[in-house]
Amino acid sequence: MSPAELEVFRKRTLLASGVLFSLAGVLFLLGLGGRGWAFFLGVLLALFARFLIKAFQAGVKEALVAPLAEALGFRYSPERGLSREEALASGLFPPPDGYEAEDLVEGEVSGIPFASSDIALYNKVEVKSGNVSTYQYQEFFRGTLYRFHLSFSVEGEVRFGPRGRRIQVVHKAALFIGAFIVVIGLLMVTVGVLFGGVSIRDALPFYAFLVLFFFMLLASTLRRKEGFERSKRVVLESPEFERLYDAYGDQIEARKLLTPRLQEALVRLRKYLGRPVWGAVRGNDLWLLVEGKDRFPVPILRPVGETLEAWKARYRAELLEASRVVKVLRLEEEARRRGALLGEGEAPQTSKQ
Amino acid sequence: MLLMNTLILVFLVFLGALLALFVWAYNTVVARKNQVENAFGTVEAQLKRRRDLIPNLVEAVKQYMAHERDLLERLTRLREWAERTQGEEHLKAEGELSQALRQVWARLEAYPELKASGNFLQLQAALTEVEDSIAAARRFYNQAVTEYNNVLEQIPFAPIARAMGLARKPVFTVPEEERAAPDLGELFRR
Repeated sequence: MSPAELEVFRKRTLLASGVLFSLAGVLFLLGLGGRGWAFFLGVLLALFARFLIKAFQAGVKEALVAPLAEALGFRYSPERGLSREEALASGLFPPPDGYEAEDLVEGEVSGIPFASSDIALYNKVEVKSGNVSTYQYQEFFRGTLYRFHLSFSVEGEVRFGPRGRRIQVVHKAALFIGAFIVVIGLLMVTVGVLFGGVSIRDALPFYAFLVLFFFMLLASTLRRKEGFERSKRVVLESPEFERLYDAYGDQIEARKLLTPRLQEALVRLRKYLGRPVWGAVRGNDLWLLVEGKDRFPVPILRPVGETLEAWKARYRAELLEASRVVKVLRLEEEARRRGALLGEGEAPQTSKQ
Repeated sequence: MLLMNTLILVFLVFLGALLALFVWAYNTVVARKNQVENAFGTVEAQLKRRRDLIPNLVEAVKQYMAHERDLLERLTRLREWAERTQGEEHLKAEGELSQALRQVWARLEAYPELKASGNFLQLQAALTEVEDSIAAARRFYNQAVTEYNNVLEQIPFAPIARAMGLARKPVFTVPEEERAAPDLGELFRR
């Protein structure tokens, strides 16, 4: 279908779904007046209207994403995606119970080969209903994974992610529950001392136990944090980078990769995207994982031509911003190879303070 | 009796909080101090790696760079000086060693035949890698010192640090002559 035909399709869908939603609204009102069949019919009509919009959006994607990718010099395969093994090789997430990938785009940007696809990760959770337990897949991440193939190999490995995202998930709940138990315990013993006739001497062992329990909990949480993240966390110079990202890796190897120039490029990328970004650099690959629902949104109220233009501009800019990171990596690597960074390895002369 | 019990409880809670604060502050100061020592050890280890490569470098280039004998001899002397000294003098020796190495790199351009020597190219790659690691280790050290110095001036750490006799530490700085950014365009045209 040509863009002109898609525009006719959009107008027709907009009119049909508008009429259906209006009718559904009237039927809902009737349903509220006590007519159950009207409510049921209203739901059916609303679902049908939604189906029409979804069909239109899928049609536009099918018709336009491939030509868009080709116009930008890329190859697009709607059904394919980066394989589970490839995605896991990024090391950006633990093996999920369920993995889906689609919208594979491959090509070169500024001479750098890349592949990207939309991915969704699922965890299998048990749902109990009475004595019957069933398993459901719950989505815990949806976004776009980019793999840029570097023309040079990078020593070491570094990972970065949105500030504070990983630590919070693991440790905060345990600390909160422990602190809650301690506070309740303290309150109960204190009430006993003040109003229940318990002497201070009898209450002291309880207080000591609660305080000890709290410190043990705190120490265990901190130690786990230390082992899990903190010892590997690399604090870098750029305050902007530190505000947006947490970097992990060997203290020296990570700093060799995350030079001030690269930190700047990553800050710029994050600001441009406006969404959380995870990344990993390992061997010949740079991986970027961008959280977000849909790379190619199709708003039904916007003319198809404008949607296509918006896609082109956004997708090109997104890739260019990401490739800027690769270019900085390449520039640093080249400069290093030619000895231009020798100046940064100067002798330890110290400033007097 | 109720008032007495309340007062005792308030006092105990206050004492417990004070003790917890002290333990936390003391541990933080010790952790920062150890982190600086660890980071400095990392810098030292990288500098040692560089010193170990210098005899091989001198050996690999001396037959090509016969006219630079003085410079190569100076490099060897500075390396020995850095090996046997400690503290401020050691740092000074390392600084001069870095400058001498840079002079060697600069003069290498005049000896294109060196580029054909596999041994030299290997050494050059190794030295470049070490310099890169030194730069990264220095950034790690500077970060650790910044955190340490901050702790020394912040409450509640400052009194504990003073009692432990800790003083501010200096950070590594880039020498004046190296502050200008390298001309990468010129470099890539070579």
